[in-house]
Amino acid sequence: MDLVCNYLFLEGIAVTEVYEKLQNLIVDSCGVEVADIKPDASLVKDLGVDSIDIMDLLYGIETEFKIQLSLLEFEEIARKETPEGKFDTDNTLTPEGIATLKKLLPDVPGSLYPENMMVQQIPLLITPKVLALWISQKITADERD
Amino acid sequence: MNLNLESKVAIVSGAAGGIGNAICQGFLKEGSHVVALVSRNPDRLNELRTWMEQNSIPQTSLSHEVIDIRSKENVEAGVKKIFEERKQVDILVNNAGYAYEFPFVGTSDEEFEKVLDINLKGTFRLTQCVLKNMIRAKTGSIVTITSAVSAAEGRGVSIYASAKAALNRWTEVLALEISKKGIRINAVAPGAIQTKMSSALMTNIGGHVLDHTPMNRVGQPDEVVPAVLFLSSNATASFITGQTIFVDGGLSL
Repeated sequence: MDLVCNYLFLEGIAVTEVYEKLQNLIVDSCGVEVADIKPDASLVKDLGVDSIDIMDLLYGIETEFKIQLSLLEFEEIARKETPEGKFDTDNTLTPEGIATLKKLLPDVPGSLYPENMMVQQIPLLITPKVLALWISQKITADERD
Repeated sequence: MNLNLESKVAIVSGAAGGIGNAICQGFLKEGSHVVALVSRNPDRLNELRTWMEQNSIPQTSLSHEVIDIRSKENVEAGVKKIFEERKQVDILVNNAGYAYEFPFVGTSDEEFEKVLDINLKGTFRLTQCVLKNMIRAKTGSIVTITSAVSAAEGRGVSIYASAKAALNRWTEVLALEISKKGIRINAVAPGAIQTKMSSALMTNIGGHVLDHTPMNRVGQPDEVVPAVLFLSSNATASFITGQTIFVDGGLSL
């Protein structure tokens, strides 16, 4: 477990526990060796996970954690946080759009952002750490409701 | 050859129709549990239940859900209930369909929508919901009943034939996506089969269809069933996916 210590707890949720369960789900859904799963590795770019694996993983997360995640949420949130009409130009992210994503996902290594990034490439930014935090936030929000 | 379908759970949509009823009987004879989907009135399964009684098949081998595949909410709720009750579904047979024959130029928007909604979108909706669970289980087999008019003949049924042809291609492309998850998908394309639904079509184009059927006869619903069971079974079709078998007396040749 090498998830950075400042994320050990998020509003009472043990992110490390979430991360450990998530690792097992990634192994099960994506056919990746547990040793290859690093917190900051891009699921798509570094671990070679394809879109059907990601769907499988999201269904697994839904079952394990009783929450619903949608990949479109990243895009929706980022769009809302960016001045209207400035998020992308013809599906290519603008500097403002990229800046919003970097603000929302501060832990994602800059190397995962491709040049001339398209909206459809946002899933490239999903790392195990991002997912673990996202799941933890969702659990917290659901418990609050 | 043993189909090894005993104790498997098969969802069959359009179960009350001629081919649907025969497919349900086929699975029940093999010892499977059938979840029969009907769009409205479950009493339409009475004929099947009577047949089960006559053949000493326990009534508990058949359950049903009323699902209108034109409604996403309806499909989601129905499939959720099935998985809560059965835990796992091994086989999905997409058999629900709506045959419509009328000259294209005179077809109303309402009929366009209905033909595409039931034959195409309804199949997508149902499969999507079931697939989600099959992907988690890493196993499953899907068979979609299309039609020989997807490939040949079909004068007067251009919308219906287009929808069925789209399903054949969808079967191929979806196979590319889901094979790695241990799920197979295939299609069976019947020709002129003696059912109430096809009788409506045959009223106007039937003679024409028979002229182009080398075996020069209509088929019976029972004759479609072996292809469905064969493709459903991992004992017989474990290495077959993305294929369409034409059960049509040669109509598509």
